[in-house]
Amino acid sequence: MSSITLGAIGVLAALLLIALRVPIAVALGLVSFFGIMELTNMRAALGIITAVPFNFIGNWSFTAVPMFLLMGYVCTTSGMTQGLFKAMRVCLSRLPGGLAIASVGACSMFAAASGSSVATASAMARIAVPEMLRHKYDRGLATGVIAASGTLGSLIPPSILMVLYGVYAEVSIGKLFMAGFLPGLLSATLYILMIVGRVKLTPDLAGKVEQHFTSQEKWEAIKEVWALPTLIIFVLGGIFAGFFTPTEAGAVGAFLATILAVIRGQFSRTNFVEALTATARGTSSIFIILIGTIFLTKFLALSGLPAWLASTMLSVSDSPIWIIVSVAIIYIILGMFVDSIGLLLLTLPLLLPIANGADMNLIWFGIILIKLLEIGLVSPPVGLNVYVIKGAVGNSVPLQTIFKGVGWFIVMDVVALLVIISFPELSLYLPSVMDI
Amino acid sequence: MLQTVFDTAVTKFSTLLLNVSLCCLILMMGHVVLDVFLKFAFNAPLIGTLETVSYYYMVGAVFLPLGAVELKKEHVHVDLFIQFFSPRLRLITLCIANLLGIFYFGGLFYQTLLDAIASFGYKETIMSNYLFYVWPSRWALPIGFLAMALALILSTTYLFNKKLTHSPQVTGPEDDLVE
Repeated sequence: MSSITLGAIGVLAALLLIALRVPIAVALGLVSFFGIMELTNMRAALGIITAVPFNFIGNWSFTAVPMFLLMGYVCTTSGMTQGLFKAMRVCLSRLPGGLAIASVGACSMFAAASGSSVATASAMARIAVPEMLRHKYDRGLATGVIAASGTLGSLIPPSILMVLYGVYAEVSIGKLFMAGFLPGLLSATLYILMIVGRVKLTPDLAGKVEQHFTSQEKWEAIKEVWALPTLIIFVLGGIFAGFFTPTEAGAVGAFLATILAVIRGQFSRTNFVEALTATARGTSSIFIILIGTIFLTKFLALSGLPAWLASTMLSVSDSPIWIIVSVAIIYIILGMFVDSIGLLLLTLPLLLPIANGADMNLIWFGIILIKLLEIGLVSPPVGLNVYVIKGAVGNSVPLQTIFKGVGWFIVMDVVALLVIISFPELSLYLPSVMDI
Repeated sequence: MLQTVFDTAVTKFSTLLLNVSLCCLILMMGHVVLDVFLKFAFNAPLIGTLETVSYYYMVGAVFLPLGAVELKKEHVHVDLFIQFFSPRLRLITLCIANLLGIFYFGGLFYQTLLDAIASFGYKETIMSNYLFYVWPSRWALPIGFLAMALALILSTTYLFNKKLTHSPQVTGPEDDLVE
């Protein structure tokens, strides 16, 4: 058996084990260990265990992941995110489909703080969907907007996916953060334009919201949520102004979030321990997969599969479009059952050599990859975010209705993706003008 | 009786390690913020921040909570297909998945334990501007992997007894296996 065949069997075996509910970390690690042993010997396989986990995790850049997680969890456990939807709603009540637009804004901000699409969808579904349904919003629009808007957080910095991609692909995390900003903004704008357009054409979609708020009420609602935008502006501003590096920004953000919670009188020992515990659990479960990914990378590199795959794909065409379409197909299939972080870590060992082979800009490729990952999270038949929404809303909205509602947002995502692909400058302009 | 003792011991061990990892996170935040502040205000960064944060706090934060994460069944896995299996087939699949996990983390425990002992033997340091010892943090790996393997063994004993894993919060395919 050739080493390339062994590599391919290894990938299939890992996918089979994952499908049989073996934890992703275990599936990747076991397959890689036996693969390396088969290709070399037992000593080399054990040597990789000695070298990889300790030296790879002891990486300064990775410390941004637990710190950004902590920042997000401090925000949520201290109630800093609670008034977001209300504030957005009060400010945008006059627009057609105001509640849905408010959801896009609130989800973007929540996701920017929490760094997780699934957590955003889960939290916002409980707050915003019942409110929209109460005002007789179309059920597909009400649920679809939350499922889709949750995904914006991965592109809008700070993003944990970007930190993981940046370290793995050895590209600047600061540049990735800046590269994601305009595509994230474009996606949010397209969502809002689509909602306004649809509601203008079919006013029934947005029910009848007769609420108008006084300036006093608006001010009260904004006062409730001032801390979160302050935090995000401070963290991003600090990175872009060079006060601290993107890696340090995580710790500064977590610290500032704690201080803000204290100032607002929302800090308690219980909340803080809860945030720390959630951070420790999240960190551990992400990085144990990452260790499996590194084992897999070593195994696949020894097998020669990524190089073979890259040359085979590039022999068909070295057009970025061909590569991106292939990645999209893989992500839509795998996005049915693996969340975005797992999916990114699972596929990077195979995808990066292809992008390198095609001489694609790795920052631009990273942004496209993250956008595709997020589309995978809401694509039928089993987009994970959609199931999270379904779990939150219970029997009041059928699954098909949610998928139907999400469909409009997927169309906008595809438009955004086409713009990102057609105009690399959209992603690369900001990193080129700012020196990080 | 034996199971209860084992359950209590594993839970306490994992919780203790989780608490240490929480301290690592607080120290990580405090250390980096202090370094940034001193760098910004006095142009005098704390020496050794990068090494301490990377090789101690980060290593502790990643490896020590492994067992606690497993006890809550929060390691990332895919439930999509197994839900279509019959309860019996599901039980067998879950047991096999757990046994593979025990084998994997048991192996990692064994190898990293040997590494930690060796590292202690020659007082391992890393390349730095000054002497920076990393051998103590090497021990976080075997300790964390041991907690993980023990948590998986505990979960498997419950599966063999056809009981739900002991954590009341757990929901998932195991739920149907409760007698």
